[in-house]
Amino acid sequence: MKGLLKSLEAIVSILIIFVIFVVFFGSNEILPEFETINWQMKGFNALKSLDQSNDLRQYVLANSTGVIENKLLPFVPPEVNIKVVVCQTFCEKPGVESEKIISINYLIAGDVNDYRPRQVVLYMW
Amino acid sequence: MFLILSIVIVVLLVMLKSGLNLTKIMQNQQYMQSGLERMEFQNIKSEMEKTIQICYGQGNMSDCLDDFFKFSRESSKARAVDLSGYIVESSYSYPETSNQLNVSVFNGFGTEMNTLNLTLNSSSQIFRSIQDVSSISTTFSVSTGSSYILTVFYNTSYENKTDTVNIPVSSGKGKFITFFDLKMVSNRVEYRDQLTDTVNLL
Repeated sequence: MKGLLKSLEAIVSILIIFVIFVVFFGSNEILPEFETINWQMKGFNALKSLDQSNDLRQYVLANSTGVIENKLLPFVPPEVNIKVVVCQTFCEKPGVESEKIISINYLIAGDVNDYRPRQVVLYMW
Repeated sequence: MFLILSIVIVVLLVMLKSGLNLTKIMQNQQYMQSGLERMEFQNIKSEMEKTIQICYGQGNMSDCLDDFFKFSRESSKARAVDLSGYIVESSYSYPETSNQLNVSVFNGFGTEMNTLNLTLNSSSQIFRSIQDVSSISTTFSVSTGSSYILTVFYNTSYENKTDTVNIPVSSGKGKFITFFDLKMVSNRVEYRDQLTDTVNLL
């Protein structure tokens, strides 16, 4: 009889824990994504730093995307891949297959006495 | 014994859940996203100011500014961000030889400016039906050594507003004075800022 009561108590306890677990953690809540926002922040600040050192404009106007990528690499997390596209109003897609890809747009009006507005799009994945 | 243990576990689960405040986490995410959009807005404002310096030696600074505004708006639109606003450009060169103040107003509100009233001290001019991404130009008479206040009143389908721009007319050099009123709206945030930039003309 005592053994039966113990078993019953154990079953009730398991049921209570199960019910509480389902009630509190059962809803399919998706945790917000922070990693990609951090990438965006880092990428934007990297472009800004490159602009403040007066390098970005000349590379953009010369369409030297490879040079910009090399200059940006030290500022982004090592596990992240990057691609830079320089364009006017409409920009081509980077042609990258990835579930987690983000882009940052940085605008440039031109350089001294050379008004040529361009977008620098930095893709990170 | 098992019941007591289960109550302890339940209390721990409740504490874990209350500590995991998803609403606050999502608010933090929104805050970070809006911070990124603020940086993009600052990038546009800063480039607008740089446009004046870039175009200084190239000719018409007003055309460059209007063009850069259109470029920024198209670029923002592709990312579902709406950029709007208006630009007041005023310039005079060597008041000794010319006592004219040139004033241009560019409408970038995304809607028609129904009425635009420009008043320089006591002299006033009224314009009507200024279409989106178009501008009007006019002139006012000024005299050297005086300080002027240009009052701009406009009316659109959603706003009536008055802004003022200080225009000091000094002798010996011309000036290009620009007033921007820019607004950026995304699905998360709305930023609006006004700035004035003055460039001395040689």
